[in-house]
Amino acid sequence: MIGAKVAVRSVVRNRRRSLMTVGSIAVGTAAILLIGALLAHLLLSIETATVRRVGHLTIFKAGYSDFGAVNPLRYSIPDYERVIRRLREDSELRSVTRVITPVQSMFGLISSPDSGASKTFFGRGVIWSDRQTMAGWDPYRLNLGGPTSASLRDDDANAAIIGEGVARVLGLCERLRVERCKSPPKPVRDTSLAAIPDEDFSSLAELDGPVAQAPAAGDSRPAADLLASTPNGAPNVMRVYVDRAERQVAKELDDNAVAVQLGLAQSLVYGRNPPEVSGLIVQLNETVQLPRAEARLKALFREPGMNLEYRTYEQLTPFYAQTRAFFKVLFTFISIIVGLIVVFTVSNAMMMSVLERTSEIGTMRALGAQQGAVRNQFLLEGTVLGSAGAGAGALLALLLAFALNRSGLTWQPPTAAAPMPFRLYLAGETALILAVPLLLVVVACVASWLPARRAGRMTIVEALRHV
Amino acid sequence: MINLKDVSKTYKVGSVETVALSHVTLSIPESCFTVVVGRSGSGKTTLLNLLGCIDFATSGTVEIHGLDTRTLSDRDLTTFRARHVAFIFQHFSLIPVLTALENVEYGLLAAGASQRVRERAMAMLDDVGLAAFADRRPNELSGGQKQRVAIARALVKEPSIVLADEPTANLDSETGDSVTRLMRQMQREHRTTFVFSTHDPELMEVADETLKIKDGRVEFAPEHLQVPEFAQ
Repeated sequence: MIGAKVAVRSVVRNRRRSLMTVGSIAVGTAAILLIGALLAHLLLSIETATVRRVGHLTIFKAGYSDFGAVNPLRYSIPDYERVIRRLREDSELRSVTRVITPVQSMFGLISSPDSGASKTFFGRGVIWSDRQTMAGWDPYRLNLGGPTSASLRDDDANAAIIGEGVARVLGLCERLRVERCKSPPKPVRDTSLAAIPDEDFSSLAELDGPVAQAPAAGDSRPAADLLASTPNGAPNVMRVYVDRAERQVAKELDDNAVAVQLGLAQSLVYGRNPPEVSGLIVQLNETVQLPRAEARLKALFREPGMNLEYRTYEQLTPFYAQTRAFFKVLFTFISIIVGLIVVFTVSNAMMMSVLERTSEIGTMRALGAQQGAVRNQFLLEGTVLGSAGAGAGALLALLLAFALNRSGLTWQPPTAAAPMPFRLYLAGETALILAVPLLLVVVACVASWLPARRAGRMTIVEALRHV
Repeated sequence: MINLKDVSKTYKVGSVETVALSHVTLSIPESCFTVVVGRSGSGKTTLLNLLGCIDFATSGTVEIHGLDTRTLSDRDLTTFRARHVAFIFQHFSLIPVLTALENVEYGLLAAGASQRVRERAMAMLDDVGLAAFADRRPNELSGGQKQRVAIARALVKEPSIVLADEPTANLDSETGDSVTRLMRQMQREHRTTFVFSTHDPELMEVADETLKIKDGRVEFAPEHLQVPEFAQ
């Protein structure tokens, strides 16, 4: 007890040096915590953006992941409505599920009858309301910005949403009010191709017999034609009316993305064949429920007629896993650097303290203090410095995070299509707030070990002789 | 009883060897107020260090209460020192961050006391006339007061031996006299063996026994302090 008193009071007595040491530890602690908070926010932002887009799980027909790329239509799910019903009926899955929605992948050519421009596209057929619900997923309350505009009605069967890059190439920027969008150059007509008709794909569809499409008389939105091939290899064309252009997270997506209503996509891809879907997206209430949902899906897929497999959002978007691994390395590296600085700072301060108090150490030993008692006293002193610094650092980090989160700063993370508020996710990272200061206290204690050991092992006579 | 048999102590700094004590043989009886006199560098402090078990003889034997100190480990020696030996230093050597009372308590706690620590420390401070200064830190005390606290710290654990290395050297003569009188009084009250080194001739007058050391050898010791078989 008296040793603890001496340790604490010695820290207070050497005010300037202690303040410098505590300050260094505090800055180090705050730095690690703030970096951790920033990375945590980034990861959660990426996770949120990814889950909004692809859900937590995507269910495919068995074998799709391995061989679907060769012939996706062969691996589509024919009786998807039954599967969805089965999944929704399952009480365990229902308790963790937010959205279960079918999706149909498609690719082909898109052209604008107005401008005559065309380009390749890839996209999805979705249920508009489900897409909107998924885009509102925000369990971490990051306020990343929900859906950019109101949902399209599910009965808006001919609507399409395209990437801003697609709008630019098709010359639809002006009509779709896309900002900072260049107009495409006037096409130079090759006279040798004069015999070939203009790219009005709708005429091609007549070769295979067009799918009945509801007329959209009076639709003021710009029209576009989608050309894809049916399972039989025949071309199929559907006219869509572009509701808006949305900026996508990556240029490749932005230049190719087209989203249409599920029914339209099925008509485009399957023609007169029965409609199927390429996958079922499952979005959970929270990501922590993923293992539970996976376990349940595995059990359900063993039922007869459920020839299915699933992939998680991490498997479907390697970028997320790679980013997380990179952040982990970055965080560890920075933590080690800060840890080393703390080691040197505390070690130096303690070495100075031992040197200055050599005579005092000699006195304590002469009075009967064991080597261990003296060593522990200095270890405690280092721990007191570490605790004060780590505590102050945690407080500093919380204050800075609070201030920065309310500063109104914005930035554009890699997965966002638009700038979003700059935030540090510290308050939710209880483990981080506890672990980092605790770790630095341990580091400070370890850094005190050598000076403390030296203090304990001093020769009493030499220590007493020290001036 | 403290017995030194043919004790030598040599310090080695680099390649230079300095003989601090050479073949010292003597016996110090219990409850005796013994003064060790000699010039600076004569070996007084080395002798006290050996008696206090904070240094080791290069050769020879130091026996305290029949215990050969060479045979004890550092831990056992520290425990022995905590229980039986107390020091009063020339520079007072109080722990600066502790109050006068806490400094006295430290002496008790180091000796392993756990009961009535505060009460006993306060009583001892009262004995040396510093009860009113119990809450003062060393830097708030005068030299004489510091040395009184050091005396209280030394005596509070009721040691059998008190070693004082020039305890009045840093005090003015009046304060030095007062401290000397206090030590003598406490020694009589507690019947403690007091050994202290000094240059002060007045201190020699109050001593029961006087040892004179010169160049590491005992130049003079009363007949009864000499051990016949090792007498020089």
